[in-house]
Amino acid sequence: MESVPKIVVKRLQSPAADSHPDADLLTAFAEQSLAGPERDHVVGHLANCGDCREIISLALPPQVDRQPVAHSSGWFPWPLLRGSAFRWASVAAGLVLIASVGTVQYRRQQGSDLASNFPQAKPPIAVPAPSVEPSSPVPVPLARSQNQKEKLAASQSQTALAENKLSRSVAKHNPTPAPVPQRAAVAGPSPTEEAQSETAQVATESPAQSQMQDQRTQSKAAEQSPAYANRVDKAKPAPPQGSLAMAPAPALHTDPHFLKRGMAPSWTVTVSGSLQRSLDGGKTWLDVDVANQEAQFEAKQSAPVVPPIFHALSVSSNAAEVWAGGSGGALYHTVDAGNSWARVLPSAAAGLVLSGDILSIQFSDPQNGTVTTSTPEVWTTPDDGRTWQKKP
Amino acid sequence: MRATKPISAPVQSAVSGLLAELHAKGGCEKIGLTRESFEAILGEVATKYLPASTTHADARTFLLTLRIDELALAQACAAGNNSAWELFLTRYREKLYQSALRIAREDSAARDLADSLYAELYGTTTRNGERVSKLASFTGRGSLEGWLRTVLAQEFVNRYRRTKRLVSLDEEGEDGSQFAAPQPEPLPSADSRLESATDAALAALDREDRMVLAAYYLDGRTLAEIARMLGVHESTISRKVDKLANSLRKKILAGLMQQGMARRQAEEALEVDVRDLQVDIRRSLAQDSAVRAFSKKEVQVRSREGSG
Repeated sequence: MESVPKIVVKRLQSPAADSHPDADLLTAFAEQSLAGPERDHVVGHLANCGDCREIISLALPPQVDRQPVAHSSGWFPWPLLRGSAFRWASVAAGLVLIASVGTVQYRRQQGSDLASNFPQAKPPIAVPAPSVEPSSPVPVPLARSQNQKEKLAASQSQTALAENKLSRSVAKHNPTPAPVPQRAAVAGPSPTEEAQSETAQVATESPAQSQMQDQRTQSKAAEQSPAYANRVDKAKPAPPQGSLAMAPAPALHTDPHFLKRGMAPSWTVTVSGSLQRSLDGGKTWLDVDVANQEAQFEAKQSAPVVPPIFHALSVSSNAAEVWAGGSGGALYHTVDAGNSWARVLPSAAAGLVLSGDILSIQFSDPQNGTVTTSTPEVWTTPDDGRTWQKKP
Repeated sequence: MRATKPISAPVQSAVSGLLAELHAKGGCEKIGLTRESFEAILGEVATKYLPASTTHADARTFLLTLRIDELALAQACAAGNNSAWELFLTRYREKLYQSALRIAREDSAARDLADSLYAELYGTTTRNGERVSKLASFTGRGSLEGWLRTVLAQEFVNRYRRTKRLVSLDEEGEDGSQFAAPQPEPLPSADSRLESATDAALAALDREDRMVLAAYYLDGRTLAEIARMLGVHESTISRKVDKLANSLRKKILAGLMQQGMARRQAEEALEVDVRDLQVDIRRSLAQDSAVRAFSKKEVQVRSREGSG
């Protein structure tokens, strides 16, 4: 606090010239109920009368919430946060803030990596399109993990043991297979309707959506929203140098992030007939080349297989079991959310084989399904695709 | 309470107009205050504080600001109403001792202080055959509790001053002159130009500013205490003290330079040590006696017929 010259202190000791205000006025002044000339008079007296200042000070009412600073030299009321303590508290608060921001950013980064960087984290299996480089060999997957290789080998051996035409790469003899709930069947668009319906998508997060529904209606509604255009753009990532990029199927069941988050993949068939999958709730979509993947599992062909044009999709409510059908009777099945696919060739006892374009796939439950073709034929299965009957 | 001047017509009309309302508000019936006696009390209080030229509206506003219920209780106690006295004791006796303890900061001194005031409040002395109670001087400008604290503080200050002087005289007598402090040699008086410049700067101050300066630099009160006295925030007082100190220094320097001093000379004169200044003890003592002590006095008893 600024000091004053000592002469000022001395000259302030001038005697009070008037008589003391009575106790009522002093009380009213202390209680702030005096105003105008009366208050001026009392203040003027107090300026010159040390006794009355003492009395006013003594007569002040006790403070209920007394300020902790009795001899405050500054404005800040909390002594614990003054000076160095305040500075250290500020530094600590800053560090906590930085750590919090860093943690949030790290988690966000991990989330985006999981959703969109699968091809980068695991370089894609670049399968040159036959139309571009038909003679080019199939590149060996560069970064497929050893676990995946072992898993592929196991799938191949199991597939070879399959007696019927339904070849499965998934271990059906799993003692505790995950129960497959109701499916959401999607009828593929007819050729005349393809121009209108660009995509058929099944969102499988909620059980309500697992009910049988006409996805085409949703697709038309979605076309009108701006977000839809973005999604379609994302759903068609430019294949590198014209080659057909098949996104390697992430090991969904072994991916800790995936399992921890409880995310279910979303499936869709684009207007161009590509089967796509999204792992981030529809923000980004990646092509799934089930034909080449299945061919590699079967190890029957060295040349890339021309992927079929998919028209129909049927996804179970937990998105783990998927049926996809398309041109030339192409019918593919996965029970592990796309980690591995199996080509299914429905055939009847009389040597009849499903040969037309599959336009719709409908499963009323995990076992009973119906496939409609463009020929037109209707094929049904009562045992999850092991046996098929053609309806007359 | 006895009116020292006649009640003006505006005051009387205001009192008459509000009498019924205030009489009921003060609960006067329960404590034995008749309308007539309460009307007289209100008229005297208003006459004491309002100027002679007051208007009816001003008088009415003034009456409405009074602590009517506490005024009625105090006056009923002063008039000797037992039920009022019991009510007063119930409400204020404990607070009286607590306030005394807070002021005296020592239990026996506090009890002595409170007991003496208690006797005055009850009215142990008589005048013209009537008990004289200090409560008769309460006018309801502030709260009765605050008033009790104020009269306690007045009594405490009076006692302190009396004791201080008495002890000084006793010490002088016991120790003898050989132990008396040597009289300091008379110090040269401060430059008269400095005193006049300082007085001029202080005189130019606002009353409240001067009070703040005196409380801070002369009494050594804290900023918080001064803030509570004036009902403002502590930071306001802090800023004001800084501003006043700077302003005073500049004004005194300017005053000295106006009287022909060079700036350097003026600054040296301003910074002169207090040892070089003559501390006018006699004048300070004269300040103490210039104003009479807070009184035993002025309990002006009003003899009221039919009161109580």
